Amino acid sequence: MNAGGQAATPLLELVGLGHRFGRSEDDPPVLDNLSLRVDHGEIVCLIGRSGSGKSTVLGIVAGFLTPERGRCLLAGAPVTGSGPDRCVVFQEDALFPWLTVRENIGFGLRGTAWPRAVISHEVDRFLALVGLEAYADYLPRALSGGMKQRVALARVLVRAPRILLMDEPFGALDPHTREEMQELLVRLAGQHGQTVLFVTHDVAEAVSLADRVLMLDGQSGRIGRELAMDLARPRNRTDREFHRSCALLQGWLRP
Amino acid sequence: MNGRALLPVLLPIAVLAAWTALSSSGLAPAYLLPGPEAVFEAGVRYVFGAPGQGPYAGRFLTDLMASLGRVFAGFGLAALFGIPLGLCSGRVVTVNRLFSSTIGGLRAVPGICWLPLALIWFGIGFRTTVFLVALAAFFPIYQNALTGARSVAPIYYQAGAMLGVSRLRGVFAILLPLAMPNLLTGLRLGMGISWAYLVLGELTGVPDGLGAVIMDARMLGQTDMILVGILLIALVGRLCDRLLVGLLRVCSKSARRLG
Repeated sequence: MNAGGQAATPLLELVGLGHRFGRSEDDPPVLDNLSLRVDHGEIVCLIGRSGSGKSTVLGIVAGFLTPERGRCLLAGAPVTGSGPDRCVVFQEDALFPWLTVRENIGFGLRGTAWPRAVISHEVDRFLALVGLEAYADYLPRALSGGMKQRVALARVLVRAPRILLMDEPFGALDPHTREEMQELLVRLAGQHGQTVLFVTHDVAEAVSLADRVLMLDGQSGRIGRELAMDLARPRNRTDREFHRSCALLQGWLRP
Repeated sequence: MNGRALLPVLLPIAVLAAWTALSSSGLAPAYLLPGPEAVFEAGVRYVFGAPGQGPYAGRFLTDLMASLGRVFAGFGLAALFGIPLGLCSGRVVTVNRLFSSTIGGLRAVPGICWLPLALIWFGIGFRTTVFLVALAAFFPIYQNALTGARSVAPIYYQAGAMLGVSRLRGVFAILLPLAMPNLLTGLRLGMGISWAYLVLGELTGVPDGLGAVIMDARMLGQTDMILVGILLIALVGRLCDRLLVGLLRVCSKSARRLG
């Protein structure tokens, strides 16, 4: 999946990030001199125990948070504010409740200069990609948790973000639905060469999705360990290699 | 018609029956409580009669238009200031700090207290009534707009921003739709209060208007016309409420789907 090998500029590069939530200098930093890179077309999973700052990293990349120190570079250019080149699928339901599935997916295209017909065609295409054609005119409140996250995924993919940011998006789903969504994500990311930064605390999820797994160490506030996942796709959860990788990551997370 | 469908009309029928019994038995003399048929006749004369058939015959349309004009002008002013100010206060802490204590203090003043001052400033008539209506309707509209704006979770703004929605467009694309259920509540409360203060403004001696008819009828001892006025105000007030809800539902997806 790694498109450029040792290409000159990675798609995403975080250099020496430092961030704390309290205002005083005595508050312990959440992130301290954290650096990481994500290459074009890569699926990188960021794991860590809760409170380790995974979501903070994602918030900084998305532009929701401004880091106190360090740089966040997208294809070499510093990130300022949020924008459709870096879209997030949130853990909680963040669909617009007064818009139908179709309108939610088309929401990000309304402000563009695209002709109506093109927008409508794109929305239809992504409705089909996430398998929700039959639910196009439903309101979010009528959908199950898994369907909502399908809409959330389609809503950002339709904007063709350079990097897709996912903040434990399947954490609230039942195990079966979660696996379905993971397969869907891997398939769609593969088709589109989509770069993904995926935050999770579920090691099995990381092993089934990732090209590379980074462990964020809550103690030091930076990336503690890294694992390249070269398991062939599609990955089989009953496979011995799969289990060994899970066990390895689980060991990292143990205190 | 089954029992469930009958339930809501049970109480009005009982009241009507009691009213009929009370007036026809002579327990309540006609100058205190005229019977339903007398009130009905007065109402028909007032609404459909030709001028000259009686003291109030055929005046309804003129009075209605006068009252509607005052209500809409006052309510419109209240919404014009209340919605933007409320939304701003709900969104921007600085704006809220600037206005909250002043508006809270003004709200503590009963609306009726403004009447003498309004009479001095504006004299009897249109402007006094509009002033009272606008002032009274402002507070529920402002307060509910504020609550609505404040209840919008930040995640929706984040979702909007990442999808390329500018701050300005976010006001119309995200803030307004999500605050709409509260806005609708505030506007309906404001509309209800508008009718209350309309009557207050018209009791001061303006020549036309539904409230003026009530006061005028009192001086002439026409109790039936007072009751006609009350019933018509209740009816028109209710129609205005439905109109307001209908209008917002037509204009806003959010009012249609979340309201």
